Amino acid sequence: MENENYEISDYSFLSEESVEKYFADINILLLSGKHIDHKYYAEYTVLESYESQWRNFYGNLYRLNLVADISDRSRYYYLDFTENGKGKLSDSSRNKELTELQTLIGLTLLDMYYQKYFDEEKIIHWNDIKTQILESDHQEAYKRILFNDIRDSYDEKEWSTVENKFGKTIDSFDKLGWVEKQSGRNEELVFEIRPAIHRLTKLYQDELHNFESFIQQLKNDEML
Amino acid sequence: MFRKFGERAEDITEAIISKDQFLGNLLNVVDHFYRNMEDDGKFNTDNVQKSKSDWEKAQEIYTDIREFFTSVDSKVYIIRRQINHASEKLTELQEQFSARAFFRIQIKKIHRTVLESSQYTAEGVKFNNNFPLKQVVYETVRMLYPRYYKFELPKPNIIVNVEVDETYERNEKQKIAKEINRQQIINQWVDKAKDILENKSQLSIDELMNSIMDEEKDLSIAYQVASRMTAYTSENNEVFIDVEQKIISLSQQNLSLWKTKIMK
Repeated sequence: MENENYEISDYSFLSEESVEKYFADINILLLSGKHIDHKYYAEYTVLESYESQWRNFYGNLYRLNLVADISDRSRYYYLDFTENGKGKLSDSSRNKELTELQTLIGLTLLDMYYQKYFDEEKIIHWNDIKTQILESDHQEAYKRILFNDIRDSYDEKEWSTVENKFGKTIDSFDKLGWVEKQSGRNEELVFEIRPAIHRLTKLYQDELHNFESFIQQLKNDEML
Repeated sequence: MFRKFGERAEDITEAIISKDQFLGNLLNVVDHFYRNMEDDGKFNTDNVQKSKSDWEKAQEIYTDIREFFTSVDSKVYIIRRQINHASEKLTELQEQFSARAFFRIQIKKIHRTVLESSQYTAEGVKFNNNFPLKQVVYETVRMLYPRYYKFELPKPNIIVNVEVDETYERNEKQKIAKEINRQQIINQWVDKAKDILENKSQLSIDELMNSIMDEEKDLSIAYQVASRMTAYTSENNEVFIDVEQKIISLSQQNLSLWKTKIMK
């Protein structure tokens, strides 16, 4: 394994057999926002074997950081913007802002991850989400946000609309590698929450570190 | 809770040992039938049928029970993994309890905040305050190519306005007018030849061609008229052609023909 401090200035690793074999997959996955963990065993191994070369490659050619993060003892790789900006992906078509719904569902799944902390695989069925909406401490908020009406029960059509919203978000999280979808199209939603869902805590690390001032700021903004 | 898991694990281990013994005993029963068959040596028809039937029943029981225990094995394996995982997590929590607890509380707080910030709208969930939205890298890489190319691309149907070439147009019109004029002259000469034939009952082709050449100065007209008149004899039963094998040369023209008369 090469010295981490050693600056690698060439791209000869790209002609290594394993890199040549998986380069396209790795590059496409990382650029599309994927968080690659050991479930993508071959790609993960190639990234791990030439980690500093890959970091140099994306740093120099895309001005992006290749991040190797660890959450809940699981390691995963992803590309992130540098402190100086969005690098070569500064064009709005080359980066994506999470929507309000994606942010809400993402933080809900992060909370559910810890509800299943002792489970080796955090498998979520659609019924778990329904229970979360109907019976959790935040049931009133979920009902207000998702149904615009607080009742004890909802009809099939109303549930179908909510499931559809969750389904689309889970699809986009699956592409990011935050969850692994296990159900097929037209099947009831089943997926596994991957440790990479913790990327949300990285995205919101400033808010989490200074939580009280973040809340105060939100309140001040509301007063204006 | 984990002591209970441990006790259950002991029960499970004992169940697995007794399962192995049980399957062993069943296998012995099955083998017993084989030995009976071999020891008997007589292969009495009744015995064979009975033993076969007993053996089949025993085999079915053995298969059923083996499948049941296989599924038990697999479930026990999952339970064992879950227990080990939960145990590791518990140890981890014990080691870093305060840090973990703080982290968990922070997640709960931000989760509650996002719920309080969200509201239902017809267009979808919206935040009612400045709860920040975050960005991730997202560059879709698309490599589109036609896998099979079996068709021709439609050719564009473009109307091109070509400028009028007046010189060409004039020349072509003159050519057409000349040709029409030539056809009219041929027709007039044919009619004239028919009149001569009608009035004089005979027509000399060489004389006719000479007359045409004198007036029109065009051999092709004379040739066309002669051809049409020759054809006329074939079409009309009352008209005869007399070809004498005597060569006549047309004056001023490099053309010779048999002395030909058409008669009526």
